[in-house]
This record gives sequence, structure tokens and C-alpha cells, in this order.
Amino acid sequence: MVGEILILTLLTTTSVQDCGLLDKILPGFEKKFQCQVRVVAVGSGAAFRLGKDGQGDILLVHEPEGEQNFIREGYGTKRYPVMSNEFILVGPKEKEFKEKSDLIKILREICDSRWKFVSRGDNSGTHRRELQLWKKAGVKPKNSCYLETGQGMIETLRVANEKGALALTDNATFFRHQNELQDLKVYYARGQELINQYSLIPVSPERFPKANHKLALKLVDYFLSSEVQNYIKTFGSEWGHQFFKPAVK
Amino acid sequence: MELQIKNLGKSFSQKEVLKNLHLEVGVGNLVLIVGRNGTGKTTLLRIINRLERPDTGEVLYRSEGQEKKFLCQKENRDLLFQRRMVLAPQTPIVFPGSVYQNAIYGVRIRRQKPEISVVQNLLERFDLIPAKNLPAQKASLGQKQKLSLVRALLIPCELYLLDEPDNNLDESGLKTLFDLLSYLKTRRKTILVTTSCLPRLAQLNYDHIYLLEDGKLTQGTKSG
Amino acid sequence: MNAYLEEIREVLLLSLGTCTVSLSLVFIFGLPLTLFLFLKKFSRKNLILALCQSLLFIPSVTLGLLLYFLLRRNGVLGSLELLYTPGALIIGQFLLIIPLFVALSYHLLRSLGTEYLEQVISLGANLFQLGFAVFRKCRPQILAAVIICGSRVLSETSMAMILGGNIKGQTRLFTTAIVLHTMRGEFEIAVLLGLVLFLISAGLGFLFILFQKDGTAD
Repeated sequence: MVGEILILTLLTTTSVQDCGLLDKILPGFEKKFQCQVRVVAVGSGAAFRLGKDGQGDILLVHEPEGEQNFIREGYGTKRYPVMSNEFILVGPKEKEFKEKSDLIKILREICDSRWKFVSRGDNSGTHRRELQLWKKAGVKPKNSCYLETGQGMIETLRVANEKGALALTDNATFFRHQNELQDLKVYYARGQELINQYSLIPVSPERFPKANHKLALKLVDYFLSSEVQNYIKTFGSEWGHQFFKPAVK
Repeated sequence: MELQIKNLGKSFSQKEVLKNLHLEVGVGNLVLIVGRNGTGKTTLLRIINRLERPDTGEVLYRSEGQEKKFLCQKENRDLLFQRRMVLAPQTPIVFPGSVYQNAIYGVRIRRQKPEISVVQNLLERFDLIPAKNLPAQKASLGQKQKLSLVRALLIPCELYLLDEPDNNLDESGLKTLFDLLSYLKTRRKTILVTTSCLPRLAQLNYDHIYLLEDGKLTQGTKSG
Repeated sequence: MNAYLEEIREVLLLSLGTCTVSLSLVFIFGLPLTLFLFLKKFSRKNLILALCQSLLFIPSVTLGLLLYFLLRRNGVLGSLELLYTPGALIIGQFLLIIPLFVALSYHLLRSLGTEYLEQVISLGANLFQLGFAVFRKCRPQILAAVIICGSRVLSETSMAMILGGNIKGQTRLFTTAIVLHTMRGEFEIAVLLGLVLFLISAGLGFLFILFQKDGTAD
């Protein structure tokens, strides 16, 4: 084992990757435990699938329903909530909604007034939440108004920016890249339905004996340490926002 | 169309083909230019037809009743001008399609409807009716030569340039050609014909004859 | 399975649709352009021809990048709102293959010889009529050139991603869809798309060989 570097494969979502938090937190972990964290950022759906295929050691996702299934089916051990953030609705700078406060009414207005909406369409946590919201409102935009990029958050936001369309995004990605997204502004935030909780789930060592379970648990401890949790709280201050709420006060 | 050619010079790879060439052609004139092979007859016609640019000198054109003064090649750059003249080359070029389609090609390019009776007449006089609907590329060299001439002569323009039209032309074809050129003269069309074999064209009713030698034209006298 | 069929149908329509439009544009404007380059006598012609040939060696992704900056909202042509639409794809495809088509047809014109062209010019044809005459004379070779360009368009990936945004049903082509689904681990649909693309390419290759044979038989 001398000279061999330990590798921990972290399956996560593109939103987490795009907001840049991992780039700040992981180096400390790598240094502390003399290892390398290989981050594979895909949509939540893909993260679960890769996890079920045994392609990773630990998941960092934000989709409670999928997470419960993952654990129930024996692929993962336990959910460790580490932080939460919010989804926000962003859209073209020049326009306004008529309805301002009720999210369901807003969604209906979007469909009725034929606003253009760009979806990630990639089965990610963001996408699934978006679908849940449409389901709750009982409507969905018509095909011509509904664009699916199938890609990550920042790509989707770029399309929305270019086309003057609405999109559902996590606040971190949006504010971090706001310089590029000059034609978008926040339309709606702070709804209960838009809270987004991130959890770490180590894969089951019974199911996947080759997985690096010990190191995975160490990552959980690291994320939940007061040092990292404090950092999470302050992340985003350079952009004037608090992106994440730590799980541990 | 009137032509004034002044001081024309053209060289190809160090060899001077045309040198200080002068020529004046009046409206409705039929001019015959005789010269041995390689003396520059083709080059002269190509320069007049704007396919080649002279090294020195210029060609001036004046259409009857259209311009007050002569215009040089630079002033005559547009397509409409190109369409006021046509060149039938030494080696006939035929296009894919039937003999008939080839014959009317020049007319159709100008987006005009060919007068069928006129076309039929010409094809008949050149003995091309039997081959009318056959692919032109399969025609004999003599037939291709006739076809090339028919195509050029069908075009309604002011200046006809025929490069050695007597090549591969049989006696009856020659006779038909002479008749046609005479007819065109009566319509005030200007025609330049070159040849390397004067005896064959002796019966041509030309207005002026020139000898092209050493890059220059010398006027000849009409005999008989 | 239905979802797969729908995706394949959308991708097929878009790929073939944009390809057809850009190929048609290249065909209509490519020949006159090549003729212009071939016939026009201008100073430093060799230099200009060399520059045109060098365009062949520019990676398509660089072209995509250039167009991206031109077509985006803040770009010079931003008001046309073309980025992430099929229009941007077509523009990119057209600019991509036009150097290729010009190079192939220039070579063809060389072998055709100037006498043929000069006779057509002498008969009074304009550039487009001249192009059509060349097409009639060298139909197999020109069609073979078009097929080569078509194959190039269909295999283009990176530029299509940059300019199209890979939007489902609007700018998602075979190549970009395959990349997307593979990266997302959706291997079944990726393989299906790959198979269909392969069949289309094989078909094009077959046509190409057919035209080549026609050409040499002349």
C-alpha cells in the first residue's frame, strides 16, 4: 500500500459541482487523509444509477425520495444531511409576473401566459423537484414553450439567459455565475416548497465489498465537523449571499 | 457593334503573340482574318470576347444606337455586355443533352423562348435534323462543329466571333454558313471570322480581309 | 421504449433537416463561389487560394466558438436571436463545409478544363447558370462532393453542442444526443442512436461509391 494513493469516488450532482463548494472543501479532506477524491458530477438520477452499479463509494445528492429508495433497496447505508439550500425561479430581466407570492399560482400563470421555460430535463434533483412542482400545480407548459437541455445547471441557465426564458435553479449556481447571466433576475424565492436538502449516503459495504467504506465515513465526519459546517455557512459571502444552511447549527 | 482595337499586345510565356495590333470594324461588317496556325487568331478573338486580358492596348466597343462613345473593356464589365457577343471556338464544345437542346442553349440562357421554326430551319440547313434528338456528345466531329455554329448563330446578339469555322465542315455546311453570314450582315450584325485555310473561304462575301502575321494585321485586298 | 422512439424520431428529423438545408445552401452557393475563385484573375490569386485551403484545417470547434460569440445576446449578431436554435446549427454547418466543397469542386474544375467553362461564359451565362452547366456535366462528381460534405455535417459534434445547446426536440442532433446520453449513463438509447447514425452513414458511403463509379464510367 506504500505509494498507492487512496481514492474515494464521490457521486454527486452537477449543481453541487457547479456552485464550487466542493472545490473549496475537498482539498482539506484530501490533505488530511492523504487521499484523492474523484468527483463524478451527473444528475441525481444518474448518480443513483451509478451508485447501484457500484461505480462509487459515496453519494452526495439532494433528492429525499430517491435517497429513501436507495437505502431501502439496500444500496446505501444511511442518510447524513449535511446542508440545505434553496431553489429559486429566475427569468428575463425585462418582464414581471402578475402573481407575486403564491408559487402554485405563479406556475399556472407561467403556463397560461406562455412564458418560455427551460428545464434541465436530465432526471437530476433539480429536474425532479421541478416536475414535482408542475405536478402539484396541475399544469405544465406547452411543448413549444418548454425547452429541455438535458444538461447541467449552468448550461441550462445559459440557455435561459440567451432565450429570455424562466428556469428553476439552485441559488448557489445562479449567484455564482451571475456575471455571465446578465439578462436574468430572481423572480421567486423563499418558498417552503423550494428548500433543497443535501445528504451524504455511503454505499453499502455488504452490497459492494470493494467500496472504500472507511474513507466514506471519514468524509461524512469531515462534512459534519464544525469547521466545515461553519465554512458552509459563510460560503457565498463574496457574492453577497448565503447559499447554504448547515445541517448542524 | 463597332470595334476599335488599338495597340493590342499579348504574350504567353515570353513569346509575343500579338504586337501593336490595330483593327477597326464597322457595324454590319464581315471581316476575315487569315493566318497560319499559332499566329494568334484565337487569342485575338478571345481578347475581344473578354476571355483574355491584353497586356497592352485596348479594345473599344460601340453598340449601334446605344452609346455615344466607345467603351473599353473596363467600362463593359457586366453580363449584359457579355451577352452582346458570342464566340464559336475552334474545337466545338457540346453540353450534355440532345443536339436540339444544345442548339437552343444560348437562347435559353438569355431566358428567351426559342422560335422553333427558326431552330428547325437552321438544323435542317446544316443537315442536323436526323440527329436532332440524339445525345450531342455522341455526334461526329463534323456534326459537333455544325452544332457549335448553329448554337452561336441562333443567339440574338450584335457581334459574332467564329474561330476557324471551316474546320471539319463539309462543302454543303460551308455553303450554308456563307448564306447565313450574308443574311446576318443584312441585319447589321458584325462578324469576325478567322481561318488558316483561305481557299476554303474564298466564296465568303467578306468586307475586309486581313493577314495576321508576326502579331500584326495587314489589310489585304479583295480579289475578284 | 416509446420514449426512445420519440427521441430517435426527433433527433432524426433535426439531424437530417439541418443537414439537408445546409447541404442545399452549399450546393447552390458553393459552385458559383468556386467558379468565381477559379475564373477570376486577380493579383495574389495563389495567396488567396492558399488561404482558402488553409480554412480546411481549422478545427470545427474553433468555428463554433467564433460563431458563439457572434450570435449570443451580447454579440454582434445577437439581435437575430439565433443561438441555441436550429438556425445557428445550419449557419455553423454551412460555414464548416463550404471550404470543403470549394476545395473538392475546384479540383473538379481543374480537370474539367477552362474551354468548357469559357464556351458557357461566351454564350452569356451568369455565375449561377455556369454552376448549373458544370453540375450537368459533372453530376456524379459534384454529388459525391455533396455526400462527403453531408457525412462531415452528420458527424459534427462539438460545434453542434456549442451552437445548439443540445435542447431536446430543437437542437439535439445524433452526435450531441449520443454524447449526452452516454455521459448520463443512459446506454440503451445511446447505442440505439449510434446504430441509426451508423446506418445513415453507411447509406451515404454506399451512395458515394455509386456516384464515384458513375463518374469514372464516363
